[in-house]
Amino acid sequence: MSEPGARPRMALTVSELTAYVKRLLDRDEVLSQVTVRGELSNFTRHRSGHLYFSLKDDASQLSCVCFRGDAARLGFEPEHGQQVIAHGNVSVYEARGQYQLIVRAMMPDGEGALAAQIARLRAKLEAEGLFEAARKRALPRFPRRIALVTSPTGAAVRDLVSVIARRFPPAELVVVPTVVQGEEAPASIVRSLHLAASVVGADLIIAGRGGGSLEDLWAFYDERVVRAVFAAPVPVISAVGHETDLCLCDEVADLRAPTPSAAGELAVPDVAELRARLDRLGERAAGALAQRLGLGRSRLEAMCARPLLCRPTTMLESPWQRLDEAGVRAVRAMDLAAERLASRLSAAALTLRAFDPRLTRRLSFVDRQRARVEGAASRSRIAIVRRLERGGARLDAVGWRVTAAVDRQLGRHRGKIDSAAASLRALDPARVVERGWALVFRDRDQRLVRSVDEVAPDDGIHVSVADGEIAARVTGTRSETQDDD
Amino acid sequence: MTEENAKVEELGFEAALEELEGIVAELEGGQVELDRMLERFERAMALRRHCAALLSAAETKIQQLVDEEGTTEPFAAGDTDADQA
Repeated sequence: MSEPGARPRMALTVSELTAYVKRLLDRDEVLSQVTVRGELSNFTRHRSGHLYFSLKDDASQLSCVCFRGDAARLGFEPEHGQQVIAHGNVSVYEARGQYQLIVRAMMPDGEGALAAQIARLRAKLEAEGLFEAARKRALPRFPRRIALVTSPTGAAVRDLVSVIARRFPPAELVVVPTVVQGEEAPASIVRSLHLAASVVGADLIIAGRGGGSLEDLWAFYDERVVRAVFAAPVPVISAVGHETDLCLCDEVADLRAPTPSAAGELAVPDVAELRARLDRLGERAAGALAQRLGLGRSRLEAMCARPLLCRPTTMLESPWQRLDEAGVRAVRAMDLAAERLASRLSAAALTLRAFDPRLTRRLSFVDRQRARVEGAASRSRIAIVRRLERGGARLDAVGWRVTAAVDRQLGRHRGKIDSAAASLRALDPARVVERGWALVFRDRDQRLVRSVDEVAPDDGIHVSVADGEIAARVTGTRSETQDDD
Repeated sequence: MTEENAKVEELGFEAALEELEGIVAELEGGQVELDRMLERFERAMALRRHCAALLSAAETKIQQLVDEEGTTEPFAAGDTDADQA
């Protein structure tokens, strides 16, 4: 091999040699996960989003590239001349035959070795998907039992307890005593997270401590802790007090809070807001009922105004009258007919007697006939009167039943409306006004004003007080909703 | 509305509030008979009272875990060390 040109068929192409070197570098364990410290130079951000730069020290230079996806996650703006710590793998850019560092994560140097370690761990956990937004769980709306994974004697637990107890008293709190600083801290936090979910039965975990130096907070950057937060079966809020960077525990948690107090605020709703919401729900329920009752009442009133119901016997008056008239006419007609028949018989009798004495004996027949006619007339008369009386009694009975049914029905509806009205009275804004409160309405649509956002300067409003209304105009608004409570 | 017949006093805050919200929507929907409406209204008021009572509960129960079996004792806040931040 020492003789140049002697064995030309052994010559490799440039590509073959470059590929060989690349394979060597890619297989190397050290070069596949390497962290380098140096000064940034020749920094270029390409249109594509990739970053091209060199890292250098007193004696050497290293070509680097950071591809778009990783570049977007750097968390700082790299500048020429900046001291940085970069983490990635060394490979070969074949087109130029140049080896380069493919940077996966990078951070400003100055925080020393710890920072480099964090960057490495962050890159690794990120690659495993531990920080993905899609896997973060929603917190319970109204936590029943919250486990506080923190020191039982720290300021953090005191802040958490006071904020949560003030905002949402129904939540139960269980402090899981935890060492949050020093050598034992990671194992203690992992154990507490486990206990919080298993034996405490919490539906929300808040893990954290007050602020401190990077060394103080080191446990919250520990891989075991980050993995335990990731594996917790219920949502976890990370509540580590720190001013600048996010710790890894923050990044893996379902929600991160900048301080323990803030965690308390995020964990539970505010009791004052909930009370206001309950009031609004009550008003809406009462409003819906009042509207419905108003409808019912006006229908009932309309019904009551109809003659049948306001004087139930009215409907019987005309049948009675007709019955009476029919009776009178029947009796009169019968009397008339009987009279006519009788007088015709009498006339016939006289005529007969005058014509033929022989016929006299027939007169008794005529008399008998007349007596029969008169008897029949009086019997019919009695029968008609009886029938009229029976009809009247039936009408009376019907009238009595109708009256009773109508009274019962009206009574039932009034009872219902009265009891609903009593329920409503308890919520009647007018009673509140009597006690000295005032209600403010917009002139434009007569709506009750509940918020400064509902009016604008120059809007006409009227203020309803116990004995009348005051017309007014808005001169300005000022919101006071930034209060804690 | 599955818990329609559950005793109001036994409901948790979330369940009670959700049922209350459901009833209000139902009442506002206007599809309910008057008799039933009164009944629902009364339940809504009871739920509202119950929620308000839960919110006014005098004190939050605060316990401290003492062993791995889940035993707890009342948590004595107050004795905090300044150095434990």
